[in-house]
Amino acid sequence: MAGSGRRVVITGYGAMTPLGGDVASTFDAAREGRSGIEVIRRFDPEKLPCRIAGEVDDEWIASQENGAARRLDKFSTRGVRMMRVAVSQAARTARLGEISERKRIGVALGSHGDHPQIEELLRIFPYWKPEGSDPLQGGWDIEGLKSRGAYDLMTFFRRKSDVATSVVALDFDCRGPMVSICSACAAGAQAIGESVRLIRDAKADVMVAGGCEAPITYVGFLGFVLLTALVERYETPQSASRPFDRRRNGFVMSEGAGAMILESYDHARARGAGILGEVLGYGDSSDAFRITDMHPMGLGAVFAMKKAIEDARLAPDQVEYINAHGTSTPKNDSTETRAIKEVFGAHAEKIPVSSNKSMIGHTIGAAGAVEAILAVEGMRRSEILPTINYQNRDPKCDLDYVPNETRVQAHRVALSNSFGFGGQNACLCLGGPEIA
Amino acid sequence: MNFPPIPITGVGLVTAAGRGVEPAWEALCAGRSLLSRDSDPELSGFPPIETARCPRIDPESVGADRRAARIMGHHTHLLLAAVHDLAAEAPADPAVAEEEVAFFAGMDSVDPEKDDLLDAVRESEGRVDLGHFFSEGMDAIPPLWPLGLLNAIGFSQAAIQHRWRGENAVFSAGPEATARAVCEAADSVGAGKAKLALCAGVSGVISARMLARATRRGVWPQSGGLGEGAGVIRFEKPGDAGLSKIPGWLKGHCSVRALEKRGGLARAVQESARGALACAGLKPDDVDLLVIHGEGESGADGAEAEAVSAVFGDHKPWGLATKGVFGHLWGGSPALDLIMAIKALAEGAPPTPPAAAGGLFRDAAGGSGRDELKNALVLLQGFDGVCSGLVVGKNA
Repeated sequence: MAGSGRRVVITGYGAMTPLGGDVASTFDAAREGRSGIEVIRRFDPEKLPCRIAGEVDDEWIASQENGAARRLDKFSTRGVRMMRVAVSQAARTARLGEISERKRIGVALGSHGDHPQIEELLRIFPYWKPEGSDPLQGGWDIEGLKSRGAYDLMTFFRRKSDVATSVVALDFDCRGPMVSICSACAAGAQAIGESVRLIRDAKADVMVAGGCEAPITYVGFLGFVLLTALVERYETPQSASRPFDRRRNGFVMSEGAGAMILESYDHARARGAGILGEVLGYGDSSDAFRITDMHPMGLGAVFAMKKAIEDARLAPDQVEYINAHGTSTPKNDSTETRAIKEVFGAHAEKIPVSSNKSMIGHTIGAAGAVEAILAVEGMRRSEILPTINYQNRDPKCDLDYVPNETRVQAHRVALSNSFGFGGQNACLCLGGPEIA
Repeated sequence: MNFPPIPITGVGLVTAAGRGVEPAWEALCAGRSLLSRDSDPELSGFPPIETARCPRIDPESVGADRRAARIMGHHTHLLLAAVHDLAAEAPADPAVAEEEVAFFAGMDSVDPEKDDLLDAVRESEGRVDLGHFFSEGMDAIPPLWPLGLLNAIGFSQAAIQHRWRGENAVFSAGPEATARAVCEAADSVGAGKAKLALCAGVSGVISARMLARATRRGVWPQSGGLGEGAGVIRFEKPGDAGLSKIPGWLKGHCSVRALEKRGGLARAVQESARGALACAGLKPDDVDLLVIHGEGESGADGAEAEAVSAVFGDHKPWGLATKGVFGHLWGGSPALDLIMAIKALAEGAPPTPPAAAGGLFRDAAGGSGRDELKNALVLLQGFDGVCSGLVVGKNA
């Protein structure tokens, strides 16, 4: 059933989201239509036009961290810590530790590293020594930075985009291929797609794939405020993210991590691993339109969805659910709707389409992984998660968005869409356990 | 290994030698190092460093619109220039559909530029008062600043300018990311998923933060100088590529991670070389030219020499190394090395082999006349112990 090369199945997954500290609790909260969005606690957002976000409970992270690998803590930012916890959950389900051929286990993660903090900047910049009248001309007092312990901040080592991959590979003794992807909101889905390619090409038997992001810091958040991409008009934090609703006006920033253990079908069967689902196909594309805007016809989204379906060797009418990118921005949701109609034609009206971001917010580099995991979990439970806060019909968004309540419905094939800033698009075609 | 040779139908290169392959080749042939003591006062607190920087590039001159140019840094300009020059010198077949053009890149980390934030922090008067920072300091931050910190933005800008809508990914960071991009692009064409595929490698921008990170990773000052640059290579579906415009073929690739601390690196270099040759269906004796990684750090160079000796035995190919001339371009170095290998195959006369190579290579090449070079092996070492071998040939 799957595309060219070896079949790739899912033998474990884990997640940390504002809704829960693992996949089960996240799904349970989502099926009840709960929102994980609150007023920001991590810094004082009082004077910002957007003051809400989806934050993961610190206790959920701390209580699940692996005490045996403390040596890696100094490299682990909040995003990497969540990633390690998500991978540990996935590894436990997949019994990753029992696999003896560690050289055949790779890691592919979407991540962008953490932003420099205001506090860090304030500690560093006193060591900038201007020369002459231009304050931007001068040099750094490196010895001063070193003697006052600020030099480590200067290196921003932990901001690097490949830190998550390196740390996870060390933590879980994965000695195969390592791939670090930084394609914004598509990164998590692309990491899963790249992992599928590596397994199909027999360059690995098992891949740890996923993504993480912890952008709820002042600098990270401020960046998106400056972009005017965040929601600014809302009655309550919980009702702010409203994908496909006519009153949507921006996305809600969020944090989290999602990890899948992907494995060749033969490898999984040979070792008796439980199979949770299958990645049937992967499609990626570029809008090649504008940095901050989707192509108005959804051209890249159309290409990505078509490719994923073709890669899975399925017909469009075999797709039974679409986990939408659904950011709650005016442009994304109407354009995604248009793209779905272009790909599916009349069948589009019959496919349930829902957005997890209505409850979780937008976890950026983690989103593609978290949402793919929830899509597979939905197939396992025969439930389709709702789009909450859907109250006002938008004539440009006229599909079945599974409004406000979970739908009990068996389904075997789902698409999961992820579209990134800059125009990078990724679509995963996923199968449930029955298909696998 | 069933890897079909993939035609290379165009390259673009920007180095400290200038725009294009020729100036870089001339510098390499002349053995003329482009490294010099860096006098940037921003770096004055670090130990003296030799760098080979690329001159600033006007983004509008390489096709970027003014609005987009505001969120781009020097690294993006390097990428856009390399891509722009490739498109100008070796235009792609316009009949190829946009969605059949794939694009992969390895890009080094993007650092916030001091100038972007310094004013904002100063305006905040040294207080961690976020409200004050927002109201007083925000005006000093360029709009769309955060996007400039995303590697994906430079990558996407190239795709926007050239209407590439097929498979894509941007990997980060270091030489291993660009090696991955080369493999993905070649595989995309080889598997028939794209008719054209481009892979690019882009260096970081030399700055205080880059040096601090390099120090932290132990890759500087132990190794030699640092350089800036970008290179892009275009692969094409074999049946579609006109033979007359094929300067070289990618014939095999392999990446291996060093797993053990003791001897692991030498073993990984060796395995990546053997793996790439096996992928290409070649034996060590078939290699006429070896492009070594040669970063100038004793451990890495020693491991590479040990591996080369083990793989090639008595066979002595011609040798070539770029870092003594251009510095280490990090993410840009695989693209530079691959392009120089292609050029050497076309010229048939490799430059003078690297000094202190301990008799691994054939003696004196430059000036000794042309030779028939058919196959080159390019060796790369990444920061996390990922070693790669790439095989390019003059003929399929």
